[in-house]
Amino acid sequence: MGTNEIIAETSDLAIGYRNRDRVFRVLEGLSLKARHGELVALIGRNGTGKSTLLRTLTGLIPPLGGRIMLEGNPLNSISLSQLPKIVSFVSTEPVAIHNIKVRDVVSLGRFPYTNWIGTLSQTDEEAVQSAMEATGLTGLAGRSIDSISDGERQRTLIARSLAQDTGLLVMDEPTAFLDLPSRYGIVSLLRKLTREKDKCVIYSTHDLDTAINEADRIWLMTGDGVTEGAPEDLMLTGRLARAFESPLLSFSINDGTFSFVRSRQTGIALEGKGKAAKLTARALARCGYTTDPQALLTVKVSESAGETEWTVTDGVNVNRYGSLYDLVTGLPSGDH
Amino acid sequence: MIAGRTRIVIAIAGLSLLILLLFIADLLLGSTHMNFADVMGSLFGKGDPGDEIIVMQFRLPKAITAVLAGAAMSVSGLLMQTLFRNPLAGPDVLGVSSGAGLGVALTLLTLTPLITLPAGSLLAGWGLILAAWAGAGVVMLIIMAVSARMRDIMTVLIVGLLLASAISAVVSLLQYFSNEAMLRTYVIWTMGNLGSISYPQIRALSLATAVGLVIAFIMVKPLNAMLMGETFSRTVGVKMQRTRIILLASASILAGSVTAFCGPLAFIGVAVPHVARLIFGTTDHRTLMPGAALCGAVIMLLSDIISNAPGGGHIIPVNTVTSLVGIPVVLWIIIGKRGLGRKF
Amino acid sequence: MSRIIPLIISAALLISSCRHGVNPPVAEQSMDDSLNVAGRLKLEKVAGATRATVTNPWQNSTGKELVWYLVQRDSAVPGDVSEDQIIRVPVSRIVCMSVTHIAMLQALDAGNVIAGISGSSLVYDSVIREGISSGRIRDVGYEGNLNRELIISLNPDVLMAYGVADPSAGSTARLADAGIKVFYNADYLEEHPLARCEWLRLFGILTGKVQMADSIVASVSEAYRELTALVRGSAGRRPAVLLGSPWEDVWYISPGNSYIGRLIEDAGGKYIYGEMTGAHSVPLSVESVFRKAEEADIWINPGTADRLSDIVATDPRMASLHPFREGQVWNNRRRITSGDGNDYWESAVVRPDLLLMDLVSIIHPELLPGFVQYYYRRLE
Repeated sequence: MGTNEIIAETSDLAIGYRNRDRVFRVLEGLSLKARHGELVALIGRNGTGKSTLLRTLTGLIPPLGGRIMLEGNPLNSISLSQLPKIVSFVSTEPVAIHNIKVRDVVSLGRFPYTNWIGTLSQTDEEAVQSAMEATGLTGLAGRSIDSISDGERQRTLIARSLAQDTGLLVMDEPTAFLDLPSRYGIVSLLRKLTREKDKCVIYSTHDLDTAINEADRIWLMTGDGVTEGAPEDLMLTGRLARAFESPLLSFSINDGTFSFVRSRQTGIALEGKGKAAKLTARALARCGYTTDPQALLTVKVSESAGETEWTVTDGVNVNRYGSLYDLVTGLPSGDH
Repeated sequence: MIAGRTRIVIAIAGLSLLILLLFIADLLLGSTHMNFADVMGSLFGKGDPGDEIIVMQFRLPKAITAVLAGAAMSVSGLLMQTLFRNPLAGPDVLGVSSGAGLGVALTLLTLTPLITLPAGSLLAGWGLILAAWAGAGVVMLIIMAVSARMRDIMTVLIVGLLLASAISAVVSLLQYFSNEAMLRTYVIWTMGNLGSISYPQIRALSLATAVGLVIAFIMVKPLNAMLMGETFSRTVGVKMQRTRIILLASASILAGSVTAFCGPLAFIGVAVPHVARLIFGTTDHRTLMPGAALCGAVIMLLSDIISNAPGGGHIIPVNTVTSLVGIPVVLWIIIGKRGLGRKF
Repeated sequence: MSRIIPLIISAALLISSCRHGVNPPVAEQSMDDSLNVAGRLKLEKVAGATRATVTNPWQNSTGKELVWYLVQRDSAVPGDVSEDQIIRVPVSRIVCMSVTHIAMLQALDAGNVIAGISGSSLVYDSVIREGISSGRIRDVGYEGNLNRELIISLNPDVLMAYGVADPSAGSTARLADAGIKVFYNADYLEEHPLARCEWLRLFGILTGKVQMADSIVASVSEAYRELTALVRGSAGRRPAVLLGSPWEDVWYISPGNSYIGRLIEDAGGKYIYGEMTGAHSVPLSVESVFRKAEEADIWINPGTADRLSDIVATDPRMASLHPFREGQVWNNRRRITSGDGNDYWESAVVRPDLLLMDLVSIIHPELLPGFVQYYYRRLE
């Protein structure tokens, strides 16, 4: 998996804000690592300090204590002209300009390398081109940034970071406000960058699904600090569940997902096989029913000639339904 | 839509030609219309002596000043709009023009003028200009000090606006205690004037404008980065505090100098950058800055020509003309399909 | 013809000596039954009192009339007149808003009734200035910030004011509400110099020095008319005259029918903007005035310049003007104080004859050889 060298490392890091003489500590004692070729997802509930951590790592906010090392050098020893060649940052700020082309936005990523007026050399142009190819933007190069979709805009900003040619790319909520396919698209793009270009990408997200499925390393932030490990490590130790569980939400290790906590449910016997039976169980669970072979109430799922039919009997009455919607509407509510 | 580079070349060529034409037109028109031959003759010393004085002492300085003032104010406005990420920002936002006005008010409006210079001295004709420059300079230093201490650029904007309001209040107070004659001289100053600037003064204005424009142009790269936001700029290596101060200094030098020599010129700084964006179709400061300077010169020359339009020696004050030209542009920004403040 | 000149000069000297001479008897009333004094002032005898009607006392007013009844202290009030329209004469205390009012009172040797003035730094008369510095005469502020309480505490019999725009919303209106008799004096709006002088008659009634006022007006008018006749009678061209000075890009041009325009014409000059008529001065571009000024032989009233170098400092282009090159630039600042006082704005309103003499000697020096100007001085 690439060079696998550590690119970013913190020891006993304290992050927060200083406002004149008032110090506001968000978190402390953070000792974290990230390697080349790794996709690191920073997850945690709102307000825990994810943005603060990312901004401290990139040098935008000074740490309140402890150390940060980038490419083996202490962050505070890296000059202001060197730092942009080591780490790039995509913030949550929206692009407030129209009339600027996608290619020009990506070209701005070459800022640390161009001359005093910003002219792009051959190397710069190549970097821009390859960044756009990697992010699938070559067809949009001449389009103005406000004429493309949100997902494409996000990819443009990622391409800009890519053009900056840094070993470490840090991104603050790159999938926020994107639709489902776009979210998956972005995360798979980030994955590709780490695999193909040996970059390290550290990104914060609220999108747990993609994070625990795609990230190599999770930084799980809670009010007490940050735990790191493979997603499965955190599931195994129960930390992931504990971080997010609530009276309404529970984590299932089997599925690797969170789901709603169902209150006391009525039992219903389910007869049937295959896809239809599984989905029927889901629909029933939503309405407060749990599968119980001993239950009196029975639902039979049968398929014939491509049509599915549901038959419900409580031993006395029999009802037939042609769709799951009709079925659950027909049954009394199972929650009590 | 014509391709980017072609469009830029055409626009620059077109604007340059327009400047030349308007410059000549400005020389031809005035209280009396002279014809092209007479004007050319006067420029090269072969004309009628009466005409020559008019062209060389009245119209030529006015036209040159219009070009300088238009270019300087437009670039100043462009810098402000990028620095504050606000399409309605202009040089007056810093309070620099108000500072110049305060210097002038103190000179003209107090019964025993606080700033007097011996009439026969070398500085006599410069008294007002120096007072205005001093006022603008003081405000500039205050704004730069605030910028150095404040993280948030919006705070600087608000301080600039409040400073302008405070100065306005002081000037009103001075006006309140003045008599008619003094009031009239002050009010005439506020109407803007391109014409009564001597050649030594034009040299000084050219120097100040050149300094301001050079500094501004050196900053095009960070300016382009700033379009993407302050966070992005910092992460690509722009030293924000230093950059801000340099930009404020350049904008103040440009706007302060023009105001010191010509009085306040309204709306040019706000409106022209938008006109330039429209013509050049880009937000790249490498193109936009010279583009705004060219557009500014064109519009200022046009305003000067319009101010003489009534004919027979009657004039519309320059400030009125620039407002009449600039306000529709500003309205177009607000009402137009782009929407106010969302993007620019 | 040449005998008239010494006559005029002696008349002038006589009149000026009268200013510091014998006090005429008080409370003399002798006047025609009705006298249309000037354009905006009408004085009529009505039942033993004098009715003063001021017409259009501020700019842009039309058909506006203010009526006052000036009643002797021990006389009865004419029936049907309300108290707030009555001024008891002779007055013992006046507050003046303009230095012209001061000049008129001084001409009648009645400066002792001045209790307060507006804009004390603008006063030229040394006696009045002494009164100000001694505290006998108080400064009541001016224009927007009139010190109303001070005026009320001075308890004047009349406040001699002037309105620029309609003053009904201004500070002087508030004073009228407080019981002060605010008399809006329209002398500065009179276009003819003699018309301005005739307002002296009003002050004559106010101070009880009617005869003195009448005689001054009469002799000034006569001197003025004789001089104009002299000028008209003399053959020869009329030198062209330029007025005013530029400021920034603008030159405010007085119309031909203005006070100074008429004076120039009566002095035998041809004001280069004589054809322009109007109620206000008009802003023109410096360039256009510069062009027109090429016709001018003489330049009068160039702002506040005391030396030719002052003009050059303000606008060096003016040095190429024909009158400048010929050294024919004259300004009305011979009699000024170290503050802002200029007698031209003060006593000249009472002595248009002196003013006219100054101008005639400038424009037609051959008519008054050896004459030393009173208000004017050639700029060096």
